[in-house]
Amino acid sequence: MLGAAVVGAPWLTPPGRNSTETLLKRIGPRDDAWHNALYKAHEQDIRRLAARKLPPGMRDLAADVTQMVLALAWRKRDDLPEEVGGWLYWATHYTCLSETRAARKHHTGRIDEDVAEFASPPDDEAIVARAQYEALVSKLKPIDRKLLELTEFEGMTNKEAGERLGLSEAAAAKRKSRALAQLRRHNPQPPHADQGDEA
Amino acid sequence: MSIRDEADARQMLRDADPLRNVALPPMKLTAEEIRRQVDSGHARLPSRQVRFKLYLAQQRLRGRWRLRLAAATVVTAVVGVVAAVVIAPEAAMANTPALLDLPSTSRPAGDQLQQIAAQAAHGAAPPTSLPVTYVHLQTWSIDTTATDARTAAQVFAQDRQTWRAPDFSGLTWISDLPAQKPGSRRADYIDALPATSATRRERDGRGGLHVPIVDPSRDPATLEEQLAVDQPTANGQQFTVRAIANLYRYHALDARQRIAALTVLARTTDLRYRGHTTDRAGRVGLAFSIDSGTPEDGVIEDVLVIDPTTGALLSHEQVALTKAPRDITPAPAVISYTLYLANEKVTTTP
Repeated sequence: MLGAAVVGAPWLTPPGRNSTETLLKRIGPRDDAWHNALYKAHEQDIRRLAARKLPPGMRDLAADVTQMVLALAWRKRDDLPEEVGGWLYWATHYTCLSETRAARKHHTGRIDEDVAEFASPPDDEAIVARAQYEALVSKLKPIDRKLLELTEFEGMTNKEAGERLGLSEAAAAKRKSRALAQLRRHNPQPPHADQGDEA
Repeated sequence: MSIRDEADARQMLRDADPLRNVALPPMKLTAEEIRRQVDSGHARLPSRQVRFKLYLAQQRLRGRWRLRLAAATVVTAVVGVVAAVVIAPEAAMANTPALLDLPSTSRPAGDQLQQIAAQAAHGAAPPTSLPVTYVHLQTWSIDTTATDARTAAQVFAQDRQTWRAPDFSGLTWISDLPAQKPGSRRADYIDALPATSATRRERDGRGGLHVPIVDPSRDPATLEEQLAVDQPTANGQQFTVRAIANLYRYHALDARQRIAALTVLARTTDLRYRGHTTDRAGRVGLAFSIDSGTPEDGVIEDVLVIDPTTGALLSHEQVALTKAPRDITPAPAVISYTLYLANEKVTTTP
């Protein structure tokens, strides 16, 4: 059963600005309280990211991926860095890829061959939403488009997105600012004003 | 762009997110249930491959990946070297020095050697009465008879100094040298021996030092006969060249002896004058060479470098011009050289 909706909001808040993250850092030993706080702070973000990473036919596995990531976090609790945001991102990313590959290997007829991160369900609303998004970002260079997707949809910081794209933190911030300006310049009116439902 | 414009652009982007309305599946387990499954060993965990990737990503985040990558590179290099020597000995080869820079053209050596002899006679110093013969050599060679690559890769290099008294007692200092840098022309340890080389000091009593030709003659014909005892000169003119080279390993020849040796060499009809060159100790001299052997069995070139003023031998080396069927070392390659760094008479042994 599908419940909450994905919202295009950062899921990895920079350290210090999230009270739960601060709480996680303040909690000394990595005990049940730490894991409870981790679950509360990040399970929804992990589900959102997993829903993005998984192909359309596998999005109902987003909760399973989240549970696997949180289970691994508990098992590896003593080895995790103090700021767990980056670790959770990569754990979710790799687990989604692994699950997708496994499903493709064993059930090739079940899922789409193209595992695009923004692949949409085959309904009219999704097709329209996809077309609108493509129209919005059509003037951007591929690297700028990816940079905006990583930072605005997947919650990466400029530094993390820069590392992924081979840019320094400063260069990523500069490119992002220019890309947003370009986006604004070419789209004086927002093409879509709907606000997604919060989970 | 103003902050408001940037905020508008971000909102525009989020509003256009094609996945903004995709539903999320609810969680099936609470944090406590996840922990219980992990602790009981029943939790489903990401694959081992995922865990390994996470480990690497974590090292990268901690900034340790460069250090570990460097360590891994060193380990790989060491394993590679060990594998090259132990597992794949056939791949091991000696690092030979570069060939001497010799002109490709040549002419018979006789006239040039006679000119050197005349020059040496003109400027010859009177014979010295100093009793001790001092010879300083540096030698380098590989084993051309080796039948396996590991042996062929071994280099034998020595710095050798000998002081010999008239009663054939004396002192010998021997320092083993590291293999010189591959492909270099100049010998590495002319000015100073490496700090890591231990010097063996051997002292011989009366008659203990062996000398093939005890008293080299100043008469060319007699010297030729003496050389024939040391080397089988009847089997080829290259042996005359090698006998002369061997003579310099033991003696500090006076001017008349050097002239006799030059005269013998001048009679060696196959010897070719190759022009000016610089030997491996950096000394300018005149090069002479002689080829021996056959293409089927391998051709060896003997090269002598002679001081044009004194007629003294500066260096002798052998080059494999073509590869014999059983040879492992590729050709052309230097297979041995001897640098005559000092041949002189001194007052006493150290």
